Amino acid sequence: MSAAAAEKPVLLEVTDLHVNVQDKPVLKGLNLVVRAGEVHAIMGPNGSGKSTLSKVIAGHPDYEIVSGRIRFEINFQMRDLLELEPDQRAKEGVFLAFQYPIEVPGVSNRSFLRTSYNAICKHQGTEALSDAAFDQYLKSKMALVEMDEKFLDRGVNVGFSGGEKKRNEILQMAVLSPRLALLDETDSGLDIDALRIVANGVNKLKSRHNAIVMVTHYQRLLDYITPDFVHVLADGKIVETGDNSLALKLEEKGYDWLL
Amino acid sequence: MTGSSEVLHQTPSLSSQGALVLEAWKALGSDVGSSEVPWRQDLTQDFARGWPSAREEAWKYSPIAKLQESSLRPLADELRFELPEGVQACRMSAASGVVLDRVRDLMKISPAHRFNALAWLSDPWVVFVPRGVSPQAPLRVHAPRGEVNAWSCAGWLLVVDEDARLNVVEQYGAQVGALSWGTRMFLGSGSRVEHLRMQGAGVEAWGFAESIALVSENAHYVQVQVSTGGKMCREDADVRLQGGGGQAHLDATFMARNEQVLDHRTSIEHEVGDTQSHQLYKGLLADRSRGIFNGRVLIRRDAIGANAAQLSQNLLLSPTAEINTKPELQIDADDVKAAHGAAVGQLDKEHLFYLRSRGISEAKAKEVLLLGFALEALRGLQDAELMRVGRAWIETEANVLLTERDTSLGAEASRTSGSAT
Ligand SMILES: Nc1ncnc2c1ncn2[C@@H]1O[C@H](COP(=O)(O)OP(=O)(O)OP(=O)(O)O)[C@@H](O)[C@H]1O
Ligand SMILES: [Mg+2]
Repeated sequence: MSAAAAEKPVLLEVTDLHVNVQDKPVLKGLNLVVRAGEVHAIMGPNGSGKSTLSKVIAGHPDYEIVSGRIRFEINFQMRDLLELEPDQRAKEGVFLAFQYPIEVPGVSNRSFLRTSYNAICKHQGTEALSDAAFDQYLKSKMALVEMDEKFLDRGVNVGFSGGEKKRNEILQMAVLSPRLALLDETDSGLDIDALRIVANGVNKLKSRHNAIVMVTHYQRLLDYITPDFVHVLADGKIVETGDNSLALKLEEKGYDWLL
Repeated sequence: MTGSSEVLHQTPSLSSQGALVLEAWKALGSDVGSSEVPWRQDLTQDFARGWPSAREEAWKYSPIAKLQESSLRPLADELRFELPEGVQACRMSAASGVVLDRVRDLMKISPAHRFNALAWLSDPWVVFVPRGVSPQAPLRVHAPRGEVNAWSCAGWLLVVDEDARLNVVEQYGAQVGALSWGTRMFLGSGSRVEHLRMQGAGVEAWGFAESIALVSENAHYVQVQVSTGGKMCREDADVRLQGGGGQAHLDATFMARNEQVLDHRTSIEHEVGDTQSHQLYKGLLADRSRGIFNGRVLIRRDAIGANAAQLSQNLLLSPTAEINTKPELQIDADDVKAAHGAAVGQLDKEHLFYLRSRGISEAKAKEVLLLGFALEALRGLQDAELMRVGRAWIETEANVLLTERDTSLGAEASRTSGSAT
């Protein structure tokens, strides 16, 4: 695999990243390279910094980048991602499915998706869709994640169950078709059917042009979406990288042997 | 008219405005309809005191000092209806039978603003929805638009019979001068009224509006107040839940800018048990504007199983904007549920980040969030037309609030973290 991998263009490159949250070091020299077409799984103990990494890549303002860099391929060039505002990153194809999706009362899911889709279209120089055309497009994506239309006219995530929120994140991902999808525990709190549906949505997105980074605690998800790499993030660093068999080993032995 | 001149004699210390109101009253000529107004005698005392003063408890926080110096001329003014099919209207003096009984119940209540008495004494219109009637189209009510140097007073009554339904859109607010506006309604058992009130007064105008709703058993009253205009406008909403199974939703969005003052007082009385009330008051305050929300909830001794919820949420869009929010819960019964909460803040930065992470620019994200915040007040509406009208109004006003200013809102929430070194 490694010989073939070397030919694929690098999409994301995180180098010696140190990040503080409220003056406390959380990421302590993290390295990660993700190439187009790859699926990465990141596992690791609670509080080790997995969500921090995802949010820093997406541009959350609460995190202080102490040192290191994050580069992302934009128009065949590696660009400093940290220089871009969160919305610019999204426009360039970065997508974060939140571990805890936010409820936004008063903003309907439909208009949220449309605003977001049109903003990204505009950036990429394609025409915004008419409302009717967008609704048609949305319908096909709803079918993909087997979501009922009634969720479109409710406030974004408002009153959604835990699993419905996760599914809604995948719907957003499907609508925006990002080049780099960061899925932070999208499988947590899903029932068996929802897990299959979400995995199906992710597999549909997969192509040789984009990459998926999934944070997960469970081997179960990896039965549906086979990762090329499994990483263990512990105490702010990637401490182990392997293939799918590493996940099986972790399931069996836990993290103690690595720490 | 019995005794109006006599009244003048009894009140030697009549203030100048008081005299003007009495004069206006006299000018109405015959005693039209006012025999249905049991408190009209007390008015003489009230008028004698003229416009309210900031020394009075109920007006303590309303900046009305300027008003006392004004020489606005009281005027009993006319309003305009667009009546849907099956809905009737007559003057109060022509009301009879069950409608008259209801009118009498409604007129027992003294006006929240005494200077609005003129509206009630000038033979107001009574709209009647017969039993079981449920028109598709809303009743539209257009208030007088005001006149230079005038204080226009107008009001109307609504009687909704058993199991009838009505949707009401009221648009009011003087363009100049001042407007006193009154709406009183009776909801018969099992009826439903959705009531959208849109206050859009001119920038230099004053406004004083009162609404009263008497809610019978299993009736449901939904009021959505949208207030955006005026130099200083005050709204007093008074709801009385008088029958088991009665429900009220009192929701509002107010948006103020410049030096505007928007003042909202609500009073909900649970007179009997098994009644519910919900209030959601949302304030958006920019520049040096001020918002006031005073929400009184009274649960009477026998109102066992009553349920009252009140929430006041406010966004301050500038450091010089101000909100005074005060719940006033008086619970005399056991075994009731009453909850209230108040929040004042800026836009939530997690909300902002969520939208921005979906490619929505910061400015657009703020716009979307502000609008979403304001639109929540429409939650109780089922009627599509009311929803459309209310939405359009809020969208237009939210736009004004955003485009004419910006920068400061949710300022500290907007920066991305430092760059890599
Ligand atoms: N906004 C924040 N404020 C304070 N502490 C934070 C914040 N974000 C993260 N932390 C802290 O940083 C550490 C890493 O948190 P992070 O959420 O990245 O862990 P995680 O690996 O995603 O854990 P989990 O598996 O439980 O989701 C934790 O100790 C956490 O408490
Ligand atoms: Mg996490």
